[in-house]
Amino acid sequence: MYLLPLLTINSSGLERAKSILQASNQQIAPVSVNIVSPMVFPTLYQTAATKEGAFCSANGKKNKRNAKRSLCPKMRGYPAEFEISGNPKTYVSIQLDADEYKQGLKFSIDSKTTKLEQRVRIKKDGFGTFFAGGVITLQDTQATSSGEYAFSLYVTALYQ
Amino acid sequence: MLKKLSALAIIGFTAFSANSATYQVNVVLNVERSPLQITQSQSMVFNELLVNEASRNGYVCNATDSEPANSLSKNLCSGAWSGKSARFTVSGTPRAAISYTFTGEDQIKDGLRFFVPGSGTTRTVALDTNGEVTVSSSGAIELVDKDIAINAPGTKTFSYDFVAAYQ
Repeated sequence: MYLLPLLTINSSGLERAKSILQASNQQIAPVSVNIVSPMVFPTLYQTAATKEGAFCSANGKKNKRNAKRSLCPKMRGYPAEFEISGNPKTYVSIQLDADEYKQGLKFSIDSKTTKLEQRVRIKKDGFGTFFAGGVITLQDTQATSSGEYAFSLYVTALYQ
Repeated sequence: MLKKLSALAIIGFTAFSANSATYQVNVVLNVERSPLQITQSQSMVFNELLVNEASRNGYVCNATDSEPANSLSKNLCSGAWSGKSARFTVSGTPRAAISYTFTGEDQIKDGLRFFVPGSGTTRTVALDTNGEVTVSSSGAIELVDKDIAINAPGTKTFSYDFVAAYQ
C-alpha cells in the first residue's frame, strides 16, 4: 500500500523512485536472529512438600533455597542469549513471547529480569545481543509427572 | 515530491523487515510425592497405678520420661519410675515443615480417666537434613471414681491418635 503514491507521478519520476527504492532496500541488511546459547533450566524437583506457585527461574541467578517455594532450590539456570544482525548503528525492536501450560507446569518470560519488548542496538560490526530469562511455575501439584517438558519461546524482531 | 516518496518507501520496506522464530526450551522435572511415614519408636508407658483406701479422686499419674518432682503429678503412680512418653519418628522430604497433632480425648474406664495433655493442639516442626524428626507426647491418668477403681484391678487399655502432615 505504500507503493500506491508512485502511480500518480510521471514515468521519469517513477524510474527515479524505483531506483531509490532499490538502493534503500539494499542498504537495509535483513534482520536475522540467531541463538547463541539456549535457555537452560536446572533439573526441577517436586516433592510432597512443594507448594503450588513454587517456581524455578533461568536468569543467571541462584534460585531461592526454600524447598516449598522453589522447584530448584539453590540451583542456577541461565537465560537464552541471542545474536541479532542488521544494519550497523540502528535499533531493532524485539518482542518475546512465552506463556504455555503443560501438565501442571507453566512456562513464561521471567519478568524480573527480562522485558517483553526490548530495543536492541546493532553495533558497528552489525551485531547486537539480547537475553531472554524464563521461569517455570508449578500450577497444579497433582497434574505433574516426572519427565521432560518442552516449551516454546517466540522471538520477533522488527526494525524501528 | 520525490523526497517524500522515498521516505515513504523506506518506511514501507522497514515495516516488513520482520523476523520471527520459535525456540524450544526443555525442562526436566522429577516428581517425588513421597508421603510422610510415621513409626512409633516408643510406646507410652505408665507406672503401675495404686488405688487404696488412702487414695483420693483427683490423684494422677503421668507418662513422662523422667519422674516428676512434684508429688501431685505422680500420686497415683507406684513403685520405681518406669513411665515413658510416647515417641514417634516422622520421615519424609528433608527440611520440609510438618504439622502434627496428638489427640486423646477423655476416656473413662473403671473409674480412671485417660487424657493427653494439650490434646488436639497442632504443633509445627521441620524435618532435619535426613528427612526425619522425632516428636513425643506424655499422657495422664486421673482417678475419677475411687469406689469403682478399687474394685477393678487389672490392665486397662486406652487409645490416642497421632497425625502428621506436610504444611
